[in-house]
Amino acid sequence: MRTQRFIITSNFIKRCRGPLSFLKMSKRWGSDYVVAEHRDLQANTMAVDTTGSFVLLAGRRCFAVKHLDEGTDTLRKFQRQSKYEVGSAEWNPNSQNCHLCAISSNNRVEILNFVGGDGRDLTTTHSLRAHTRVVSDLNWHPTEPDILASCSIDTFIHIWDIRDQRRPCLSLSAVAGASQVRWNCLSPHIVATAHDGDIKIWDQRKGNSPMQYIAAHLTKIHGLDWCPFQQNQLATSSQDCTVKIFDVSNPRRAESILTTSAPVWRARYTPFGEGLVTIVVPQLRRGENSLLLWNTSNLTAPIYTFIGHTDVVLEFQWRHQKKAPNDFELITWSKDQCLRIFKIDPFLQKLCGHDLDDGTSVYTPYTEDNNLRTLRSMQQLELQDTPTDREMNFVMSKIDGGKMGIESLTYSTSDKDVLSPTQPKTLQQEFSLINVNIPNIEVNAMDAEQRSCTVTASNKNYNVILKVNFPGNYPYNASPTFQFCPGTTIDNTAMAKLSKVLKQTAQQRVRKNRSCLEPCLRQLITTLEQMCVSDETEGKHLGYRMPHSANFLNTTGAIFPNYQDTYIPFPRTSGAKFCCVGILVCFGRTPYARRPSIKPESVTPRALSALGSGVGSSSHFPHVYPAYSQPNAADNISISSFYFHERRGSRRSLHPSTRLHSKTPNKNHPMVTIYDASPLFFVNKELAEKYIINITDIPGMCQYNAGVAALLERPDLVQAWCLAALVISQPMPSNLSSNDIETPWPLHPFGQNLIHSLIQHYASQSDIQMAGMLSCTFTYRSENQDVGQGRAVSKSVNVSRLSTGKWWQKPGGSPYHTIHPADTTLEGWNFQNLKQHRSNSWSESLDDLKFVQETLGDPVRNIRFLDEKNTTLYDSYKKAYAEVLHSWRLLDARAQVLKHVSVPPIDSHKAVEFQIECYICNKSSRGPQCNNCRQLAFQCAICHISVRGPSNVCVVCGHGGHTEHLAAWFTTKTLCPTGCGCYCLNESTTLMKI
Amino acid sequence: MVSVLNTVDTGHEDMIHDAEMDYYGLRLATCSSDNSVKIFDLKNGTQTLAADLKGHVGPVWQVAWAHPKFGNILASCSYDRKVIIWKELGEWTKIYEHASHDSSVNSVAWAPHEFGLILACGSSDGSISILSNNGDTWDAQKIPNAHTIGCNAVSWCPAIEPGYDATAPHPRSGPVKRLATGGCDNLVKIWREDNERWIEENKLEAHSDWVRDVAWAPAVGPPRAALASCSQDRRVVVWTSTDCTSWTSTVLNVFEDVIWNVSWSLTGGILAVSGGDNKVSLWRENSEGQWACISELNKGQGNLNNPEQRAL
Repeated sequence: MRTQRFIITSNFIKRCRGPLSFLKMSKRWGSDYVVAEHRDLQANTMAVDTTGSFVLLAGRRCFAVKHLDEGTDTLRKFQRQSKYEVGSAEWNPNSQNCHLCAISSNNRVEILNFVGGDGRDLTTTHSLRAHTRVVSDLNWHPTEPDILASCSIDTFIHIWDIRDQRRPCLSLSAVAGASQVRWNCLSPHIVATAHDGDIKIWDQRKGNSPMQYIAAHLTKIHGLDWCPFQQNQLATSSQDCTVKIFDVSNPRRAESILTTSAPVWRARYTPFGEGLVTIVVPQLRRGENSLLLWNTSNLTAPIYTFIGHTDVVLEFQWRHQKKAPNDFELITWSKDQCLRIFKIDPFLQKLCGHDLDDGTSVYTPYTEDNNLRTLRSMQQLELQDTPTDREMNFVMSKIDGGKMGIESLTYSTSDKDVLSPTQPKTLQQEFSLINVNIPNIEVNAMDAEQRSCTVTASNKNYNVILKVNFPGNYPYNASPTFQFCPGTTIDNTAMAKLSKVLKQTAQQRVRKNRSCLEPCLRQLITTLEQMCVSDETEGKHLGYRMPHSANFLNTTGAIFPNYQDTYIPFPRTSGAKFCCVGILVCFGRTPYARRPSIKPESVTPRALSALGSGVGSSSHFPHVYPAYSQPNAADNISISSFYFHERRGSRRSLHPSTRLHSKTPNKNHPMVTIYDASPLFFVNKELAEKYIINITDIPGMCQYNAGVAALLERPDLVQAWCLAALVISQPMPSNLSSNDIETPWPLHPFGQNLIHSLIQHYASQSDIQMAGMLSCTFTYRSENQDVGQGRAVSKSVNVSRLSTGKWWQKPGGSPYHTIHPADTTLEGWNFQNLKQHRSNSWSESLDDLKFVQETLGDPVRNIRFLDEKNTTLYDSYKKAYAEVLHSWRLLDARAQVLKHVSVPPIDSHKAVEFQIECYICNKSSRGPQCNNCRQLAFQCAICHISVRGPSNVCVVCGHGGHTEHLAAWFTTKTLCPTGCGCYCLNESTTLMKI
Repeated sequence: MVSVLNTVDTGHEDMIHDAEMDYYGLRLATCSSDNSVKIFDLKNGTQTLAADLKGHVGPVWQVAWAHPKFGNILASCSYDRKVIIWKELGEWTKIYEHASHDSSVNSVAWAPHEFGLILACGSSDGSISILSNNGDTWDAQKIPNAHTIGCNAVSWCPAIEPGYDATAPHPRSGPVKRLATGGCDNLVKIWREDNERWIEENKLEAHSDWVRDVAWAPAVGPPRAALASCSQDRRVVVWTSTDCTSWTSTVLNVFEDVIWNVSWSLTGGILAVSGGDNKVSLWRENSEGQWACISELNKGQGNLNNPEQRAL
């Protein structure tokens, strides 16, 4: 305190080395700073209170409070009796409790009460103990005046309500020790903690586990800071020399990464704009004592350096006095025991993208005149100053960039190669980046110096010449003006409507400080087209592109980042697909679209993004106008361009006619070639047409099929069919052996085993035709043999008995049939389904009877040619073959095969089903026999005898009977024999036609 | 042995990315970078353009015909993140548009018709969506994060009878819905529907780069499940399993360029392979389980060797 010195320099550019001579220079470029040296304090931390009036300097031996607005003598020292250093200190940010300051000391958190006024006393009011190890960080809640979070390497994060200092009101348990804790500035429940290289995001309402876990860095995270403006943005500074900015709602990868030359101790957001200030880790003492200011939208290089420190910076904080909204100061406390106050020039705030409220006064320096002046003053400065001051170089280089063109002086970076992910910084840049390839729009002139641009939108319905003037501070909340020039053919109301729409579009963009020319132009053409379509009915061809894309954008809404193309596979340009049975569909590139440079090492790229790099700079546009990237991107994806290397040059041209030209000429339309590959397969359509399945004479059927195979020159199949015929013709029991000792034929090696291996052979070589046919043959044989009697019964009974009452009047309500609504919609299919299902239910009923029979029958005789354990396997062959027949449209053959499937095909769709209502007990059942009374349930409408043989029914009224009787009846009559009033023949035919 | 049935001038203004014939082999659907889908009627070597379907606003990657028992239905997927289902109701009309993906939809496949009208879609947003038709409405189910970075291909397992499939939980419950997918994580994944939920049943690792296509072999032939996958790593791998739980892989071949497409013949047994080098080859497994290229063998007869597609 005794050796206090107070130094004021007026220019930061001149490096401060202790007491320095004053250097008067252009104030515009100088950011003033004030130095106050306080030796012997040995303070290792510093805190600025929320009012911006007081600074607490804290060390092991004492606290000191300095009133910033007063002179040098206002430092007040308070002795401290502790053997521990003060780890961190922070004033309460709420005005209500702004006199409280929290410090950490060993494993305790102490709250100091600074009683202002004359008393000027600093007393320790609270001492919060819960941590078992050193408290590494603390943070007051940004809005709750009594809430404080502290963290420690004891793995706990305690949240305290200082009104109850006995215990924390909430303890968050992390597995790893925490080094930093920070409340979210905007979301009152969210707190972030750093644990070595990881971050945990907690919601204090769900404190048992972190809601987000981010593996942010590989090395220790020294600092955390939430963005004061964007709720989910978090900056982490780490030992690995980087600062990463995360969107905690989507933390899979850092949004942006800032790389410096030294490990970063703290990275803190500026309270204005999109800035970030970093300092190096103090312990390193690398000699790099300056603070760097970055703009988060461009992290390639710092935009400013705060210099003057002779030793490492221990702590820095922002001072913002409410009375002057744009008056910010950066206060630093350095190891050299100097407190430095940097006044933040509006120019710096501007560099950080800060939108100043009192626009006019701030913007004036940036009009061209003033820029010129600034530049001159800088040149003077350059002349006056000795070039040995290396720190100046950074600022200088920027001005050098500005010399290239005054109007394009960029305040952030002059490096044109680095494309800013956000938006163009100057009008010139915007003009150079704009995608002028908008249908019906022609840009006549773009003049960045005059800050204006003229475009013509025309087609045969309208001609609009529009001049757009950009104010000096565009696009920072200043929208351009739109002016219709002579030559415009639309009427005044249309003009008024257009300017209104354009103004709105521009407003929306510039409100967010974004450039708006391209969106305005697109809006212009969309509106014009809409107006013309509504005005003139013949505007059909107008709506061709924009409404489409506009609609597309509206429905999907979200930004479509072009970078995703990296993960979209490179499009197929050739391919082959087997379709139907034995058809191979091939498509490929025409010879003229073959890649010219086919070298063995040039492998086709894997991702779609490979196209973007090939078609010039246009792929960068999506970054500039994210919302419009989709149509652009779609335009850019012309796969053919990848293959037309020689045409790439012309694609770069923005003129639409050249683009059209680069499309493949008519002669070279892509072709599809369809091959008949059926000779490659054993399955043969001709065979399928000619094969028969004859239920009564199986050996005969096999012989017939052998003949078919012989006819079509398939000797291999002839052999198989002959063999099958042999197997199926059971040898007559010899007179020598009695029934008892004879092995049942199916168990003979020529029985089951032979058949099984035969079927398996065909199946394994994918001859599904033969496998299916053989399966059918032998299924039938076994049933025929075993359940001859049962089958006779089942064959004779088919559908239901007649009914009384006029069921035909409401076909859907009849108990005899149900027609699924889907059937009526599937033209051409209902009959198909009907047919199939009749067959199915028929075979089902057959099965039912078979089971009944089996329980009674002779066990020995039940042995089948097809082993029952393989039934589903054989069925699958039958079904697969039926499917093949289906695609050949051999529907009868298919139905024949499906009849022999023992399990009904699994079909999720519903279709017509016949039920019989027993004429004795009136119970309905699905089989021919009544489930209830076990009688044959169906009575002929004509002879009134139970139907055992073939039967027919009317699907409308449900009446029917013996086929013979009905056939005779309907040769002369059209009305139902029961007298129900149904014109059965007509009704049925119309129903089938639906 | 293989003869050209038809050569179709598609009239597309840009490259085509997929072509498929319907169930009966009478109609051809193609899709292209010119954002359109076209349907041709083919008869005796002639072609007539039946429909030119415009509805996508980006390149259309794939088309798929549904089983004709549901009517004439076609699904298409595109870079514009949409899946469109078209149906011929007198004229071809869009009956459903599925727009819940966040990135390009790369693949569509209809489920075996036994399960009903169900469509699986794989997208570059990493998810798979399953659309099932319920009369007039479509239910969408999503498998989020099926493949990190993106899903490139989907293929359904044929409806296999429970008796033949050892893992079926209830022997009488009917076939199990299974789905194979391939993605940018170099994996082939097998998904099984279990109580209305899709669970990852298996993760097949063999490829060293993005998997571009997967194809489930039809359920004919030997009682085993087989699956083919192809990849940017220029390999085609055939996977077989007898129980759908453990899979063995066989590298069919390492090709000269990336492989985009694998397709099984409908009766099984033959695999068509095509890729970035504009070539098509057909492969068949011999009785020793060795895969041999049969189209190469036919080079002498040369019918398949369309000069345009095979010439170097």
